[in-house]
Amino acid sequence: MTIRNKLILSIGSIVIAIIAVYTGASYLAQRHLLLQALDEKLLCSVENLQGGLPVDYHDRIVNSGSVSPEE
Amino acid sequence: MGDQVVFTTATSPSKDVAKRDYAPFFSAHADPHAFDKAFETMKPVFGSFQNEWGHGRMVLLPGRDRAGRAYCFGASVSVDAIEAELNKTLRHSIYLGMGFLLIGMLVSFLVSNTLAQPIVRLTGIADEIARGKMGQPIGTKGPAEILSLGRSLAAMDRSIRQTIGELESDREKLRLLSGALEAAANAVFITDKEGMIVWVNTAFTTFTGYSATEAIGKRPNLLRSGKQDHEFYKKLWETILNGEVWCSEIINRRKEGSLYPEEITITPMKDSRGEITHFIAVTQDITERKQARETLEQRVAERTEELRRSEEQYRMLFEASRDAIITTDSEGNSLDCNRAAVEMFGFADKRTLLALGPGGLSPEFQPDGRTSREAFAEVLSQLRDKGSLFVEWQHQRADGTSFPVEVALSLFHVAGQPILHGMLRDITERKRAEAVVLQNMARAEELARLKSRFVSMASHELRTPLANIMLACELLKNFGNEIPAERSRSVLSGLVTGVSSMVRTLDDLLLAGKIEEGKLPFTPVPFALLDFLDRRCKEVQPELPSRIEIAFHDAGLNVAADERLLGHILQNFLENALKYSPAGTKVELGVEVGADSLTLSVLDRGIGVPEAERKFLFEAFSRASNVGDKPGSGLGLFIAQKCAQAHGGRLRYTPQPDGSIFAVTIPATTTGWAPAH
Repeated sequence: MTIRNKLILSIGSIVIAIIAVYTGASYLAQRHLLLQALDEKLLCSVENLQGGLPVDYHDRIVNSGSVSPEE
Repeated sequence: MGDQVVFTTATSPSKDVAKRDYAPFFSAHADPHAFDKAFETMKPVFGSFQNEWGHGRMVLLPGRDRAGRAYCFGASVSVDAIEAELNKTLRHSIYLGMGFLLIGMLVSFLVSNTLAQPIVRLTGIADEIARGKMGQPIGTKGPAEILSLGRSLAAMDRSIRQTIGELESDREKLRLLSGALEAAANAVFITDKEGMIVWVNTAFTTFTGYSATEAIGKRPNLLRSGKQDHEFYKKLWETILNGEVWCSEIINRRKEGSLYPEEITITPMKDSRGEITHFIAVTQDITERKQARETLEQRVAERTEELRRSEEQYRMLFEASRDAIITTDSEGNSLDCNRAAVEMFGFADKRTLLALGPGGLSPEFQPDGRTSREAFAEVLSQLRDKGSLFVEWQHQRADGTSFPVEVALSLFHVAGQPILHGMLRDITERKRAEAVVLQNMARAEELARLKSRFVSMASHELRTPLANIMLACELLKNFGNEIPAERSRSVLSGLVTGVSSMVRTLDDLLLAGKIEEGKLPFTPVPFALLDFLDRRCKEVQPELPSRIEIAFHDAGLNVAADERLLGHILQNFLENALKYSPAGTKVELGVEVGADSLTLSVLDRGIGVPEAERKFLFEAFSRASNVGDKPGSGLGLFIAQKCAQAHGGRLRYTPQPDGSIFAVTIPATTTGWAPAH
């Protein structure tokens, strides 16, 4: 293999590696941010709903018909 | 579920969390361990799921009812939209990365080309150099390393070209040397360090009879004759293994068995590290030279014997010579001498004589006043010009006495050093004889001069009065009766004067003759000095007034001397003073009486004596050149000097500014004769 091919291969490999690492890291970071925002949204919703449940709600729920669709 | 949030809450039917009888909702899409974790920590627990419920995100929030029973409140939401967004973002990123990849590949291609092109070019040049095409142009573009590599390659190219040139030159030299060795008349062979022959030339084959094929690979001992012992070869190997050159004569054996002498020179050959790699041996057949040397040695022996006999003969002649022979170096140091020299110089033996340094055989000064060293230097200089010469030299014996010698000097060189060979002959007797001869010659010359002066004086002092007498006699004979009586008396008076002058001259001659014969009578008697002076003055000048003044008036003083001789001296002084002084001038007679001496002096105002003639003043027949036609025999002062010498005294002449003083001093006392010693 000529030195030129070696240089092309080496520099190309380095470029590919850098792009792959950057793209992967960027994807994971984006996904982490989205999931984190979703988790905060879920937690907020759950906490709000939990505070609005009647106090006997758990005493009443014994099967699928224990809670009316309206409730 | 869509994108809506679904809430649920559940309590186990048993209302006991420990029994783990949860609602199916939680079992279906939640982490089976999420409840455990939530109830353990009583904190929210997040999780993801992907099942028949879809792909979503869930949260479990633990809590307790009013009875204190634990329950869990959950909510879930679909993440499909998020996933779709993420996938879209991922695709964009991939597209962007591929773009960057293309750009990167292009850049890498360009960079690779930029870096590799000069290297490729230099590689091509190196390949050209390797193929022998030197002097390729090498560019100067590219990075510093490439430029440095290019310069190195150019330097290498020059170095290789130079090395190739040197190698070509060396190859040519090697070819010449190889040819010279091959064509050399001397047998040459080369061995490796172990002594194995690796090369021989044609002369080797000619001399030894061994061909190159037979000799190469074998040791030089195939030539061994057995005439040299083991110690010889041991010393040879020690020498050449020490890197030194071995040179000697050796007897070797040819292939056909005959022996021959040869001169061999073995030279170790070293590589660049100084390690011996080969030995080169150059041999020369010296059979003829040895024969010539033996002949020469025989001739030298014969010649040496002849020289020995010659030396013996020379030594015999040298020692038997009656003349002293001494050889010295150029500094005057004696090198050798014979027996006659030892005897001549009065030394006990030869060694004592030879031990003397320069000048030890000569006095400090030579008779001519030069130092012996100066005189020797001059003789040496003349000797270098002429090679040999005769000189007379003053030498000095061991007892310090000097003696003259005649030296026959020769200069020759022995081993480049100048050697003086001198034959010395004592010429003391000859010198003495020469002195006598010279004295006799001087005497003869003196006699001849006296004779000449006598003839001159006689022709003048005797002929003049005789002529006057003859004239007077002729006058009286022819005219005696006719001339008056007064005139006759005058003529007769002239006759008497002439006869008296001749008588005085003859008296002087007779007295001078007696003086020469040593028969001058000397009879000292006491007499009255003043009376003596007065009488003599009147005899000299009878007429008055007298021109002589006597500065002495002691009438009672007697002295003892020969009155006649002293009177002769005084009369001569006074006559000369009156004769050579102008008329009318005074002549002073002085007397000085000492305890044992008497001095009479006469001061005149006369013509004096020229300085150059004063040394002849008291010699016989000597007359000063300024006397003119004044008569005189030239014997007066000579006789006066002899008369003074008869008394043991002497005359003295003292020139004065306007005259002269003649004085005589004799030893005399007023009581008796006191002759001088």
